[in-house]
Parts: sequence; structure tokens; C-alpha cells
Amino acid sequence: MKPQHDNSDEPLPMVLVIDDSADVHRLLKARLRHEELQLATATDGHEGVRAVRELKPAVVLLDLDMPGMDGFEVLRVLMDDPATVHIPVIVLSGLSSAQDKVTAFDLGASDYITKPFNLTELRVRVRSALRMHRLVQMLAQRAHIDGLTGLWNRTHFDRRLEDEVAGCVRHGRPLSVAFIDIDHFKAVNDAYGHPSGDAVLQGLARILQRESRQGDAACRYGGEEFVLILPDTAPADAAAHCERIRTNLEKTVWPRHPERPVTASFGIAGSVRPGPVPAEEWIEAADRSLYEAKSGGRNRVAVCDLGIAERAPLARAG
Amino acid sequence: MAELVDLFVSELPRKIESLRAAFERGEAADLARLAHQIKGAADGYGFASITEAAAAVEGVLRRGDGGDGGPESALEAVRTQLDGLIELCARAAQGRS
Repeated sequence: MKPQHDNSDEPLPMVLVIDDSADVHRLLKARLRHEELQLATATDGHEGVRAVRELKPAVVLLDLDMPGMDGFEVLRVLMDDPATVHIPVIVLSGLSSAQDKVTAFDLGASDYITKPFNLTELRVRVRSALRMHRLVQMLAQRAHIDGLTGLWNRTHFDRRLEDEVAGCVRHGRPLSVAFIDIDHFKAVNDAYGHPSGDAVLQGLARILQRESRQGDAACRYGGEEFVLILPDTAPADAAAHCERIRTNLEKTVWPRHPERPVTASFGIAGSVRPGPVPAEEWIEAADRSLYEAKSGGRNRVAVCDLGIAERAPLARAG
Repeated sequence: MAELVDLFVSELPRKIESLRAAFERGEAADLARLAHQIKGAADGYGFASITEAAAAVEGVLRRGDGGDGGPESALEAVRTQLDGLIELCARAAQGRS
């Protein structure tokens, strides 16, 4: 794990205060000034829920007794929404009965501080909630990362492809998907051992990462198969991009077997303006291209252009 | 922190005005909200007694009675607690100016 203070390029975690008193906002701002966080404020329940959805804070400090939508209701709404359920909520309340605390925890609060609050206690509880948030984030991200190569994993690819296909269709933007399969990978494993095979997988992953542009997703599909999602990329540009990767890989000298180069085959499916084709069909089309590249002699790029979707009649009229 | 306390105190006269106005208009909900906000904040600025008095105002409003029933005694109870709160706020405001 990276030391906390090293991440100077990362934005400070955000703490959102939902409390109907501006005096409390100011007090918290002053007391948490030296903590490594940024503070945002909302003055009632509705504004608070909106702010949580919009800002995605790391921690919420929530007053219970507010006019209109009270804190219990805010908790109910936040815990009911998959997008906000993992954000730790510290209840900060003048209500100190055991029943109020039980209700708040039952609704999903992760901590409870009674007003008037001890400021040192407040600080350490906020720190502890931030720590919790960081761990949850890290676990969530790890669940989407391939352990060996550090690329996105299959789970992430499946979800991401659905999103990108839907987005590019909606906005009439180009999209390409490229499958990459290392040629004769089993032979490398058999001849030089599995650690050498792993080194090849990691080496190709490094090339993919290096060549990735903002918005691209480089994923390990499984075994020796990789896949690139390339939004805003026409099939011809995807082919040029893959050609660069192909040459790069071909020229790589492997410390464990310098005499034996490694190559890969590339199968692209793409469209300048994709129609509403389901994600599986993109995968099938890219797979067909990959087969074509393999049967054509390997170490090459094959492209399947999915064609241009008809514009909607309204768009054509305009 | 000292400037924040000064700011809090300098706003007390305005809060007193709002409390009085809500009481005159008979807006119990507004009055309760104002008292509640003062209750939540005052202690944090070092005025525990103001928090206590504000809690008393809020309490009597939420219960909606003066102990022995009757709208007259309820109003009287609110007035008594409110006077106590306003008195404390005024004293704090004076002590600073």
C-alpha cells in the first residue's frame, strides 16, 4: 500500500456535512481545518441527498433533527441507493436516547456522535470513517483488476463493454473492440516454464498499458487472451493502433528467452457509427476477426467493419 | 477559533430578533427550529448554558403544553423559557462587545 501522504496528486477526500445550522457548519469547518479533507455543506435533508449523489463524498456527517426531511429519512434514502450505500455516515445529533442510536444504526449509520461533541473525538471518528472508506474503495477496485497483469479483468470488461456500446450508440460516436491472442503461447510455457509464460503475459500487458490513450480500456479476457475497448476509434484507426502494438511486441527481447520472439494475433470489430447491436455480437464479430488473423498465418491484424447505422429519420431531416 | 466565536456572538442579536418575531407571529414551528439550531451550535462555541436554555424552549414547544394543560399556560411556559434564552443570548452578546 502506498503511504498516505504520497498521493499528492490525488484530490483530498470529501466530507459532507448535512445540518440545518450554519453555526455548526462553521464550527466543523474550523475544527477540521487541519485534517486532510475537503468539507462541503448542505442545510437540509433534500439538499443533502442531492449533494451526496452529486459529490460522492467519502464520509457524511448527518444531523438527525432537521425540519422537512429529517436525518433518519436521509439515511433511509442513502442506504436504499446502490450508488450511496457504501458511503459511511456519521450521525451527529443532539438526540441522545438509546432508541435514537439504535434506529440510526439499524438504518445503516456507521457511527454516532452526540452534540455537543468533543472535538478530538469528532476528528478521530472522521479519520476512522475515512480509513474505512479508503479500504472499501480499494477492495472494490481490486475486484476489477487482474492480479497477474494489473489490467482490468473480465468482470470489468463485461460491464464496461455494455456501457461503451450503449454510450457510443446513443451519441453516434465510433467504437472499436480488439481481441488479442498470443501466438503459440502454450509452446512458450512448455519450452521455458510457466514463470516465463507469466513474464510474457506481463510484458504484453505493459505494452497495452503504454499504448493506451485516455478512455481506452485494456483488459485481460482470460488465459493468453486480451481485449481492448477503444471508444471514439474508427475500425481503420483501431487497426493502426493494433499494428503499433503488434510491432512493439514482435520486437520485444525477452530476458528469459532472448532467442525466441513472441507474437500475437489481433481481431477487431468496429464501426464509425454503431447501430444498436448487443455487446455479445461485438465479441462474436471481434472473435471472427481474430480467427481470420490466426488462419491467415498469425502475427497480424484483421478487421471486421460492422457498418454504419442508419441515422434516425428526424436527425436526417435536420 | 476566536474569530468564529466573535462571529457567532455578533449574530446573536439577529437571532434574538428572529426568536421574538417568531413568537409574536405565533409561528411555533419556526420558533422550535430556531431554538433547535441554537441548541446544536452554542455549546460548540463555549456557551453550554445557551444550549441548555434553547433545549428548554424547544422542549416546551415540542411537548405543546405548560404542564397543566390549557393554551394560556402553554404560551406562558414558552414565554418564560424564551425570555430565559433571550436573556442569556443578550448577556453573551454584551460581554463581547
